[in-house]
Amino acid sequence: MAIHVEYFGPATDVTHKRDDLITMESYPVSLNKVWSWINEKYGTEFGDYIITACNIALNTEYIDFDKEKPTLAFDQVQVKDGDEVVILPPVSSG
Amino acid sequence: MYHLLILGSLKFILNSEMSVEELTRELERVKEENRSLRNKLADKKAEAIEMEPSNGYPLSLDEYSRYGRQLIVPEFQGVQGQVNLKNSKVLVIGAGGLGCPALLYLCAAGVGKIGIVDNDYVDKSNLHRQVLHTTNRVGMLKCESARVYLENLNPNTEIETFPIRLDNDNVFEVMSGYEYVLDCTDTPQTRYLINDGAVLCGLTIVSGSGLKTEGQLSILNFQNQGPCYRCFYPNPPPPNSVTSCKDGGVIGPAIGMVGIMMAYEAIKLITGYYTMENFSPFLTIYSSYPKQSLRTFKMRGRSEKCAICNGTITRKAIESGEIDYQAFCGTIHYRVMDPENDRISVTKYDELVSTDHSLIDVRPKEQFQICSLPNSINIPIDQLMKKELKDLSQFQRGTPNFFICRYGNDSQSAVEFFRTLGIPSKDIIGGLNCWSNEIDSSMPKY
Repeated sequence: MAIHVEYFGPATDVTHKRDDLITMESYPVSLNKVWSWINEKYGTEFGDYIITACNIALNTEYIDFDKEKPTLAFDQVQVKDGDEVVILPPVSSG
Repeated sequence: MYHLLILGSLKFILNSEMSVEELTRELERVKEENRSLRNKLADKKAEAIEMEPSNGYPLSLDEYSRYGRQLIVPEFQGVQGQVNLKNSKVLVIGAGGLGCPALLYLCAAGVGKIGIVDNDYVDKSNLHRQVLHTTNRVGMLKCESARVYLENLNPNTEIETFPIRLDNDNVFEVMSGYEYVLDCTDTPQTRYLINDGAVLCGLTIVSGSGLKTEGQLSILNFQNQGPCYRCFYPNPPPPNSVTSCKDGGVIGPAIGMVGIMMAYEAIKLITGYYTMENFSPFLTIYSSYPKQSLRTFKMRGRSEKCAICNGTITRKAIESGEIDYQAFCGTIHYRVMDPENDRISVTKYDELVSTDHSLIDVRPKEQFQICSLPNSINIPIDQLMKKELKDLSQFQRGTPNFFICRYGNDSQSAVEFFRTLGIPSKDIIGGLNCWSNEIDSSMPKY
């Protein structure tokens, strides 16, 4: 089993894929762990883009975080085996 | 009329010496014509009665038959739902890929008054998704083309058109008198402007967007108490992450799905399905690949830090231009290379075509497959940027290297990238679009 990270809209311009499966040694982990994994894999520029411009959902609920110090909130969020972490960027075209 | 017909028949008889059979047939024809005219007259009279509000009923006979199929669906909230629609005023900003299907269903469902804001003209490249516009209306204002379609669709709806670009000066005037706004626009700056205007004017926003194969849907500023666009996106997206349908492409039904869902959410709002008690802020994401799917995420409430909801941004600040949406969202500053040393015109390149050189086309492969110049090789810009000096030995033979793309932006980034590796190159000004305009008109423009 694993944690499922999903990307939508402009985020896929960077990842070139819709999702990643992350396997952790044990569950649950704090969202910070998933966060570090994303930064390591796609670079901190992508990480900064997510914090500044996007929203993050755990399963079907938005996660509330301070854009200045996101890791404070991420520390408090527990991610279990099989959970989905979703990156939701703004899309403005229509 | 009768006299004329008889006179005509008499003349016919005198002139042609008709047989009894022929006379009988002629008489039958005239009788049939008479019957048809009487029916037409009766229909016209009935139609006039139908369109009038009927005695003791809140809707006209036309409306009962027109909306019968939706009226009997329990969730629609019955006749009151229809009366609410009839009395509602909805502003649709953008009559494009989202606006067209949204307008179509709102008008068909019986919204009383619809305002359409769009200063753009119908282009052939719009027709695959902007379903209110037609081939014979290419070149017409989109808001007027939409009006033509909608007035034919439902004469009960009043249409107001605004052939203007929404900006700080006109946003409050345009929104006044409307209760709901559908954001069907295509740039971040307009989205923030609509949001701020709607929050200050008390309009509930149905917000949609879409690109390529996906879309997003949301209800913002619900009853002027729900969270707004700024609550969720306090910072604008970096300009280089903003792609238009022209650059990124879009599948007609993908954007159409979102437009239709926007109309549906507007109907749910107007008929009174949503209340402060049952409404919970959401973002729905539509994806068409790998399989059709809708995912709905529960959003938070208003943000205390939101500059428009907490009153930091005022109407005065918007009207005076103090809030500069263009500057807030920024623009992409393409690297402009030196036209003398780093760039070459299509005409100059045309003269060099038969000389020994390399031509690298940096467009995505889907675009390269549409059309390309002879002997060009395709290395999409994002792949090129990942290459190292050792991967690029074929461009270090001492012969000239040229870059080309669609419009001449990415090709400049490619020249800059080659420079960092110490490989000389030039880019072709204006790209293939310019090549098609100036050198070879048979090259497709897409």
